[in-house]
Amino acid sequence: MKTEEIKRLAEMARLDIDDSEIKEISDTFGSILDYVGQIQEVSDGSLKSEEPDEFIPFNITREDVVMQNNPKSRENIIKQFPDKDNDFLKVKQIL
Amino acid sequence: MIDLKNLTIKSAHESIKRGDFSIRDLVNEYLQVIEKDNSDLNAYLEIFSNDLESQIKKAENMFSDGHDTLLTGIPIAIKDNILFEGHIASASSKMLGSHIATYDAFVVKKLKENGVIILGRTNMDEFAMGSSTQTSAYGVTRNPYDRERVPGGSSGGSAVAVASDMALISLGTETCGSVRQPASFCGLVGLKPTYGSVSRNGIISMGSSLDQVGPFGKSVEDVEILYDAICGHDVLDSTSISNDIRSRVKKSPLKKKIGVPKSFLENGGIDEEVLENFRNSCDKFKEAGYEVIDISSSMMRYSLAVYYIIMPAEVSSNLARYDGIRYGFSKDADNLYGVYTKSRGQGFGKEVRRRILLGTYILSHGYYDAYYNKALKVRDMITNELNKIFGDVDVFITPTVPFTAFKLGEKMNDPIAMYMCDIFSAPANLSKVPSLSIPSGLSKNGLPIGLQITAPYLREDILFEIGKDFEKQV
Repeated sequence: MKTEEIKRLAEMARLDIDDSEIKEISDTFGSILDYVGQIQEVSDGSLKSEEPDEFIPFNITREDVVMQNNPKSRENIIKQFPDKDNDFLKVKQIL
Repeated sequence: MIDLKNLTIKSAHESIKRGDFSIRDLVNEYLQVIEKDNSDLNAYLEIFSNDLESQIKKAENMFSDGHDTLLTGIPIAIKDNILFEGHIASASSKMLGSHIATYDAFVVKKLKENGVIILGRTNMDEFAMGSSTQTSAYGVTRNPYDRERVPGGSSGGSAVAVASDMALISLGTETCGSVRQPASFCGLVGLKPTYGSVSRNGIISMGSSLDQVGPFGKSVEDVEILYDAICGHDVLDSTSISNDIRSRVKKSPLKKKIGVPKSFLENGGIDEEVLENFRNSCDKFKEAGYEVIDISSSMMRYSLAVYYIIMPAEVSSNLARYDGIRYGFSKDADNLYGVYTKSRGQGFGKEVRRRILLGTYILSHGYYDAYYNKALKVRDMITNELNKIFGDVDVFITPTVPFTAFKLGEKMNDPIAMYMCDIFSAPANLSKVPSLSIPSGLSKNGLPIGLQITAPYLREDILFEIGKDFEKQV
């Protein structure tokens, strides 16, 4: 894979990566993609969708209610904000 | 002196009850070994010294009130991606570093209910991405059988803690082989339970359609006791299996038939010594009265390739949450985009960055169908094949890993060689079925070899029964 393409992926994934690593990744990606590419030889035309398994949970929902009310939890979350103003999380200007 | 090597949960429980030793004595014995060996082996990243006293007192009270269970007072180690409120859980990444858990994982709640003593948190591959505990941001963990070799991974610290008598039992997590493979490399029993059997609430996510918590122990019985204590339905994990479904699984009696997927094994590149050991294991089952038959498999050999598509795809979305904004490592920059890219670029290690990029590629426009969608279809075909196999046999067996523990540093520059550690693990993770690794002997140079037994959905009971039969033969 071309280094330009890896750079584009890194931008999409919000990863700041230096050029030497970009090169290394572009070298190893080829062998990984070759390996996983072997699934293309499987013909899935014959794949019958099996009956839905009654044992597999499906579309699990629950009432939208607070289930854990631990005041220490809230305190610990706020304490660990990287940047804050009192109890508010501070972020960089968005627009 | 307590004979830690031969101690089991039941024998420790009996000794505490009889007063041969106290819970405090037992904890102190383990702490002494930790004091002596941990600086070199690096199994633990931290011992929870501050609340050991309160945990011991609570366990003592459970005994005096008569509310003790088999696990009360038993010292355990937990992997660094399991949340224990008020303690650091870092997934061995600089990204989380000194992040303090704000609630208890479901499994930790269960341990607390049983009065288990949580000694500390153990080293792992960063965000559980690796097969040798070498991608940790906090140094490698060494294999107690040969300190120049890896313990396996990603739950390497949890395996070494038990193998070197720094805990009686431990918890790890699996996405693909991360409990069974280190169990194999360290001469332990390790279980990957049925997907949905143990709640993942409070476990740091990696590949959500695959992740599962699993126990380590020195015997099948210890693993069974720990598994029974941590499994159960949890409304906070939507993939958790309901009690109704658990009770409706038909516990049909054993056919006493064990399958060997010969063509899959031939594809695995197994070391001669491991293969010979495997043949001996087959003979042992025959001696124990089992019929060992060849089973055909055309799909299992694609498992690892499918896994290395689905897992990075899930990794790239799961790890998007680490953005340097709300918690964890944060690097200041001129604008928001810069905070994201710098925090993520510097907070994550190399293997994590590689897998995020691979997943981003696999899920990107134009490749999604060829890789991700195709992999989902092949995953279904593998599951269908396994279910069909279980119509003929109780379980199927393979070596856990095609080779024994390798040298530190080896395979680090060759991702495909490293990924091969998981070749026999992948079918069970993709198909959600339970699988157990059990020690099957030592190589000529004294390294442990493991046998893997895989059973149908929610049939951990079969694994324990057959595993105990095998233990008697070794």
